[in-house]
Amino acid sequence: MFESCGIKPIPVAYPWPTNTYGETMKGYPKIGMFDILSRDELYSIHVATLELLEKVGVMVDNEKALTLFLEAGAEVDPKTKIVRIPQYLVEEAIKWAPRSILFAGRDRRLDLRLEGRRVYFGLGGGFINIIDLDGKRRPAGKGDIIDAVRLADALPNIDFVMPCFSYNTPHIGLHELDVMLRNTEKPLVCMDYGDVDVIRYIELASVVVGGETELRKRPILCMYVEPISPLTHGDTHTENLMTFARANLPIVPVPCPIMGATIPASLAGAIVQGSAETLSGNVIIQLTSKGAPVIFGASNAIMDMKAQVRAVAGPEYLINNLAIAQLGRYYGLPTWSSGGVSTSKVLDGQAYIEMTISLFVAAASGANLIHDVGLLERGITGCLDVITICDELASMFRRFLDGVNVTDETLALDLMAKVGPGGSYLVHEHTRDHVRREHWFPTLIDRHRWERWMAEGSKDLSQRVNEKTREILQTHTPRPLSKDIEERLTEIIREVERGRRV
Amino acid sequence: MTEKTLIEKLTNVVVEGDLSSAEAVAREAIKVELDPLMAIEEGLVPGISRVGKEFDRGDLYLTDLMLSAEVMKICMEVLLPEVARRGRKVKFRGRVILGTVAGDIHSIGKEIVGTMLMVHGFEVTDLGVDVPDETFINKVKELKPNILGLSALMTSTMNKQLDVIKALKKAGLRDRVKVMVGGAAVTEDWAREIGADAYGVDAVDAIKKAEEFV
Repeated sequence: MFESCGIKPIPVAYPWPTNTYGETMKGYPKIGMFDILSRDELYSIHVATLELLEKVGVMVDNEKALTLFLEAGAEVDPKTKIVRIPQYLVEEAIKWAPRSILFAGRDRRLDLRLEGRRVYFGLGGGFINIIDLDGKRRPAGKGDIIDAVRLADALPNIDFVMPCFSYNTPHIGLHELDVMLRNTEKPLVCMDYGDVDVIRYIELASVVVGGETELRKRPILCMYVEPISPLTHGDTHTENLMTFARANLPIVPVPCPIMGATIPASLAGAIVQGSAETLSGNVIIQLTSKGAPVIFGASNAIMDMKAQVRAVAGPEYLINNLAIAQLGRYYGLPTWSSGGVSTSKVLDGQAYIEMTISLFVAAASGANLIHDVGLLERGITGCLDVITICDELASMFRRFLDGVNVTDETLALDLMAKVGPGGSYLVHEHTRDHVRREHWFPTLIDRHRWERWMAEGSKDLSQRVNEKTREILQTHTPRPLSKDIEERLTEIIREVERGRRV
Repeated sequence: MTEKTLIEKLTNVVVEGDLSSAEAVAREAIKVELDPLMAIEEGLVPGISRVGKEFDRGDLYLTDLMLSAEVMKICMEVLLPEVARRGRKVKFRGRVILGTVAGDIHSIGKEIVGTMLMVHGFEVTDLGVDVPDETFINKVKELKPNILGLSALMTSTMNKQLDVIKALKKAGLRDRVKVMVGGAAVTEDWAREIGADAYGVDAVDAIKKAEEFV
């Protein structure tokens, strides 16, 4: 497929292990490197979170949710709408949430199992500008969402899809989902825009999988919905949490706060408040529908008090992601994280540094869903080439996470005896087998000698990435939906736009 | 077993790089009196060229190619004496002598080049490592190769490549053989400076240059 740009794929690059049923076991790393909090520290964070929710509470701007809280024994102030949640209720709600979540692909081979340290990578959402393939920065449009989704559909290490870009149009959330459903079979994360269209998201996805019951069984749709930091659950956002909970679809009720502005500047405080916001969202979800699937997280980043912006990919951001993934595992909840992001304005050295370190740390944290691949300029701008390079990084980190496999066969004593001092390992079946099993091969990183690199046009990484992105967009056709389903999707959106549906 | 299935079996052991059954399959061919030349040309050669093509395309790794070549060598060792016994000859594209120069014991690079040459239809004699100058001279006299390949990994042993070329001149053999040099420290400029005929930057490049000499 990439022959024309000099990139030759090796069929078995770094094969996934298979289970006893011969199914591919995606994302089951042998190691997660970093557990940075001690048992005592985790406990202190947990206790502080419970105390925050019980003493200070959260503001819940939604009557139905307030009623649920009242019935469950929380202290509700009807005037301020502040809910003080008893500790037992927060802990009970954690227990009710499932430990393992099926996040389904339209094609079963693309299914993700969110649990433990299984690591998956995916796009972000809401970038309003694009650095296009010619390197120009301009406002993003619908065509860019289509391109991002098609690109993600083609890239083998991008496991789940988000709309990446956003633009100003009525019912934007519906249009984004429509594009995703038509252009990929991978599991989808849709965005809550605080409007009532969320109920239609479920309708669109049901049309595609053949009904709401089928969607419950194999949820291809998950929703990203942010509480408002500090400690506030908005009206429609809360309504949408409850809508998704009733449909038993996975929810990511994860805040995106700014340390020093909407959350404490100290990391421990930020982790406590971020966790409290997610866990109070979980209480709303569990009170609505016991056992509804929830993904834990908190995307804390500092406010750079010089540049006056939210600084993604800085060391505090990285530590936060490690701590939050560990905290999620402590609760036994599937986890959400971010990586492949940068504050750079263009795809330059700074972008490569920040995207690599943030994606690596997220992968090594063992978080289940790592989103935001493709993000530049701290989330204002997106870049398709960043998605392409992150696909390569994801594949490299997967190999990394596989660690050392220690068995008699891999210790290779017999082989070393056979080869002996001064011998060569090149011509041995053991070498061939373990090159296939253990060695990772890049598709974009170029390891050839100077002469071959010159002969192939002496292209730097950015050029090779750009060529691969273009090649995919020119050649890749996602498996289409049936004409009937496509027409039905168009019809639903048209009806909503004409105001015949709420 | 029919001739056809045995020939397919020979192709397969090469393609699979099946070291453990290589010799047995070659012996079977002799036992059933399969024409040994046919066994080589229609059995082994298509196997190795298929592997070579897949390696060139980037669909196979170097280790796969090396194993397949090793299987081919094992089978050839069994079959070649039988070819000779019948008074016939295998058609090679050319004859190559290879070795790592005196004072240098690095073998991997030369091994890879030797294998690639074999895959591309050359008859390769590998003299090993730390080869004295006079051994190169004697072997060139004896085997009359088209190409002599001199490998040197280190800057400290590169000069030996020049010594061998001088010795060839002294023995009056310089115009009878093309000299190719290679090794990590060797460059195009160095090759020109010492009067070698070609320099191979890697195994693939070495094959290209070698093919021009035959």
